[in-house]
Amino acid sequence: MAAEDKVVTFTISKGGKIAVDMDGFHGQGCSELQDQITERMGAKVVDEEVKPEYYDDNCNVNTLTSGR
Amino acid sequence: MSKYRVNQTSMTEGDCLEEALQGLGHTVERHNHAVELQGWPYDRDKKFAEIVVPAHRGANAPQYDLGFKKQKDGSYAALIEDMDYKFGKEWLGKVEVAYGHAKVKKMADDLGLELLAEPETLSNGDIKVQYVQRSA
Repeated sequence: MAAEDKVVTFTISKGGKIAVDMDGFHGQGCSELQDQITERMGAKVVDEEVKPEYYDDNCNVNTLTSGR
Repeated sequence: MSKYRVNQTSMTEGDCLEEALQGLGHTVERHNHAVELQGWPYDRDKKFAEIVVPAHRGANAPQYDLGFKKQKDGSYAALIEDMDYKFGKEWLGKVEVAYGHAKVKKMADDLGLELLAEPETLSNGDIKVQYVQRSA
């Protein structure tokens, strides 16, 4: 895996909740992919946690939990 | 007396629900229109469903037909006969997790994400799966 590759981890739980954790993203890349995931999953974001790296210009990492 | 229990779910996509049920080892029938479920013979409250796990077909079959009926809001309700005690909340939870996994797989394909490692089933039954978005 190249150092620039971005990793997306999904944790799927009972009740239709899916947590998404994104690592290795830069700039707006994380938010763009998050929006695409949310749209394609037909999901509603019910919780969002921003990691400290979010405030680093070079690294944008989010965790969201979505329903459906 | 036995009857069907109606369990509301948040599942909305028939293809993913079918894949989830098949992944759990069930025979699945899909119908364009809801068909009558074959339940307890003396139950006069007939139930209908578009997705059916038929009774007595396959190793993991229920005793009576088990169905998923599309609701007005687009979600499926699970119709499970009282006597099929093996198909309770725990089983439905497994279906929901398998359904979520099917949705994630479909979405990852659409977005061009590449599977990084085989899905891992956690001790609480959740599924963890990792994908990679390759740099251009």
